[in-house]
Amino acid sequence: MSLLRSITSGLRSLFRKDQVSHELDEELDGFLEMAAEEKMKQGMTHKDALRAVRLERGSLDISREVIRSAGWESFVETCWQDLRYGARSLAKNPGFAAVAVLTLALGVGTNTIIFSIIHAVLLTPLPYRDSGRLVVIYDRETRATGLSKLMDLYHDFKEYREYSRSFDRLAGMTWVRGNPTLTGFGGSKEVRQAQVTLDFFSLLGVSPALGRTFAQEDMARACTVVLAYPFWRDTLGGQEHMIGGTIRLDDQACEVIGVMPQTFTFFPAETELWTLINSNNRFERDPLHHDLAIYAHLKPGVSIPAALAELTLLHDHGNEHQRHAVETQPIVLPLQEELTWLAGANLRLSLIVLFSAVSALLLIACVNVANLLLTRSLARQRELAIRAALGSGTPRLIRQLLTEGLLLSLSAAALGIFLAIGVIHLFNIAHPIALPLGATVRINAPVLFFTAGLSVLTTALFGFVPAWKASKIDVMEVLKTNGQSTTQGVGHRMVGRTLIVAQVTLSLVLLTVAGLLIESVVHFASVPLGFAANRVATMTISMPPRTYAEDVDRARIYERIFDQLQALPGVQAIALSSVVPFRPIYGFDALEVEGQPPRTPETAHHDSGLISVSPQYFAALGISLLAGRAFNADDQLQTEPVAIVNEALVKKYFDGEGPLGRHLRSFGAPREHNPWRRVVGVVADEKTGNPFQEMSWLRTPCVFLPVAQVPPARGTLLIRSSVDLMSMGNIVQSQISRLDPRIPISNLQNLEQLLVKEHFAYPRFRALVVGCFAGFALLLAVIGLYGVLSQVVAQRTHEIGVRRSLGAQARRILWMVLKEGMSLVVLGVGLGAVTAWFLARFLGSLLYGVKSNDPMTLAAVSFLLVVAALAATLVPARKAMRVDPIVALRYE
Amino acid sequence: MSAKPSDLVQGTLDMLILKTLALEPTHGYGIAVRIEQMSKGVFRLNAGSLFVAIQRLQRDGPINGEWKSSENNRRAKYYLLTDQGRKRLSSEMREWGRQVTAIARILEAS
Repeated sequence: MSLLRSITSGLRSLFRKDQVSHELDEELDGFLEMAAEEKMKQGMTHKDALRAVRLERGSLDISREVIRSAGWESFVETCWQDLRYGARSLAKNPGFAAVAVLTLALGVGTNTIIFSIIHAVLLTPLPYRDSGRLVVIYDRETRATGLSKLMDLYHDFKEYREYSRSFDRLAGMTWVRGNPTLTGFGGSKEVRQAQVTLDFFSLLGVSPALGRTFAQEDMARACTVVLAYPFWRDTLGGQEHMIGGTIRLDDQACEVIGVMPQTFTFFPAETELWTLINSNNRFERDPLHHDLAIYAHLKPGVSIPAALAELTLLHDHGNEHQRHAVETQPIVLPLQEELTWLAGANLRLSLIVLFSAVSALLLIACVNVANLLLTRSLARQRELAIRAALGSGTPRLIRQLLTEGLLLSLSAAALGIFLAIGVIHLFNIAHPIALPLGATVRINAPVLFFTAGLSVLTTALFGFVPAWKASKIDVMEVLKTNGQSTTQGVGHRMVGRTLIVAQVTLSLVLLTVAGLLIESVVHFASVPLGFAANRVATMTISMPPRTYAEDVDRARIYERIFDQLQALPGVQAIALSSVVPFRPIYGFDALEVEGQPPRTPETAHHDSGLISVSPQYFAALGISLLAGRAFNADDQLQTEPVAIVNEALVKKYFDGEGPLGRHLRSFGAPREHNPWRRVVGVVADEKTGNPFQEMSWLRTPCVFLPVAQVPPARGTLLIRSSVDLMSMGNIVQSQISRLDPRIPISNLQNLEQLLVKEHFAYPRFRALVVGCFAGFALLLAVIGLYGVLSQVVAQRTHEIGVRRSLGAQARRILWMVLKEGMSLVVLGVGLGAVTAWFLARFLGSLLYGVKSNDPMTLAAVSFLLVVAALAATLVPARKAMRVDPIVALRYE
Repeated sequence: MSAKPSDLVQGTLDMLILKTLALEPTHGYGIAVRIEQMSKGVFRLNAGSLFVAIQRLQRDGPINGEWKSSENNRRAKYYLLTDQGRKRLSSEMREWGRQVTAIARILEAS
């Protein structure tokens, strides 16, 4: 109540200032008159009476001021005065204001940009119900390949769902079980499906935009699907009456029961429809050989370790007879962390590094502005001294200076936000890096709040030192010297120098980090991959399962496709592989080698990849054949089963002995599909990506099988061509349609661009951005150094003039200034080197082929910094050298 | 007006203003005069401190002001006690009584 009255009355004084002040005047005048009348009754004249009252009751003018400044609104008013005064004084010195605002805007803007990404990626909860309690459950391999995230057996999923007490709900989902072919909407098309269990959508708690999601009744139906919004709109025509209708997938009628909202997204983001793992599914028929990822909702109060302990028990209990029991253990991860990881294994660390970099940049900007203000406060000493002499207390002076600082940083924040909006707009258009699902980077309320907080913080950072120095002004001294102070206190110069050292230190750290990251990218890009990706188009081809159920059918159609495509103009080589080159090969297969002790489940290592390739595969990708022969037209379904192995496999399974002529087969596969195969060739390793670590290449042991003998249902067509790769799609599709219109091709990509996108985009983006920040930092540090030295030279002009007239050589003067500047730089570089050496170790997995304490990098960036600083020092130093003693002394 | 007016005991001005207004609503000068009369000229209020206190009390809620015309046809702002003011006055008087007794006890203890 009283607070409310105070606020309303204060606001009234602020906004109806004239009326309030008029009322106060009237009240005080009334007081005076009444008191005077009293006196006049005792016989005084009016004039004497007024005088007597003033004597007795104090000056009413002073009273008026006391009353006015008693309320809180007077604080607001003085702030407003300070602001206007500050704006005027900044406008008087537009150069200074522009440099300060631009410097700060750079710091605040870059911070806003990086924070908006961090906010979107790491701080915004996932758009699912109670997303904080959503986890993903995988299996972790405990030996062999060391892969740490495997999908779980459907068998385990059922065990967990039945017996686990840690979760409200569990759902399974898989996206790797092949994609169906959609027919009837303008040709055959492969659609990206995710197969989910009944509870998948209810687990996420997202309702469909149209229709419904899966329900119990669908378990008994042959095929029901839920569509993704873009797929429904763009491919199927986006009509609402489609709900309840059917689409044909792999020659099967599937009922459309719902469409998810446009905003709904889950991994993998490209999913076009979800199908249900129903009662009559392959998963149900053979739960031990089908796997999926499990997503679950923790019960309130259940911790991840507790849930994991329970799952581990269930896992060991339910898998006594399985490879899974001896080779894997479950792991439980927060879903948010997992989705961030899926978008980029080092995304979290990258963002932290970027944020540290922009924080350092902001600090440097603050130091720069602090130095500028310090210089200015020197020039304003007289003005401040006069204000102090007229009665402004120290707190009042500091408040004035801080208000000016706030004015600077708020202008900078406004400018910085504009900068950030522009950059984020570009970022969202250009998509330089993949972000986790549903993460949209934008300037929203929390980001603005962050920026506002940042400007207040920066004001405190850069405004504190100058304000504190100004408050210690010696009024008498300043006024006596008539403001033309030619020397400044030692303390004053010390502060400026300390700030320069701090700037150089921070810049060196940033430059070192940028240097290490750039070097890593260069190293990483120059590793020979073992294959040539240039001028190769890749696309996915899938065989409709009903028509091409038999190996012999697929082998035959592949051969016809090769012949057809080979005849196209510009096609140099055409190959098929069951995997995409350089994509991680999950070594899921265990091998038996003839002549070596037979394997048992206890001794089998699931560490090798089995890949079907066509005869031209090695030639098309430029993979060297080291021994024996490549596949050829004689390797057919009816001829002797053959295999080609890579170096990594030779090393692992043959102890370096000659593998040619030896026999091997897959362990544990059904006998009829798994004959002994004779090794006919050895090829060099092709590097493949490591799914668990960014910037890392793996050499997985691989067995290559001829497509003619083991024809995959889905594969990657690789076409080396001299014509435009992206135009290949339609040509290839029309050629294949001529053979069989039901065979779809999809995912046309340029292999080289795909390689860049999947492996080089993140490291390059990171190195580029940190490099830019380091460049800004260097620029700011050099400007700061130049500013301080110029000021020093200007202030010492008189002294230099005296020295010159006493016979000092010009070279000595030059050396004097150089020494002053470079000693600060060298000190900063030394401190920076120590700091960088200490901090760079946290870069860890972001580095490739270079150690965090690499002395060459440190030497190179130090050299760069010293050269830049030398250039900045030379300008004022040469100016000092040219000081004319006559002119300098005449000013006295 | 024989003796020189003395300064108010710290913190008692609010209470005195409230007490004055509890007898009868009046204007600023009226308050000053009444306090002077009742104290037999011991307390003479300075206009500045009086009006600062009035403004503060008005904002905090114990008193309300309204413009009226005074006895000799002059427009003046009359202040009156609110319910909150009455409560505050009685609690301040109680507290004051306690303090005075306590101080007296200490002084008599010699």
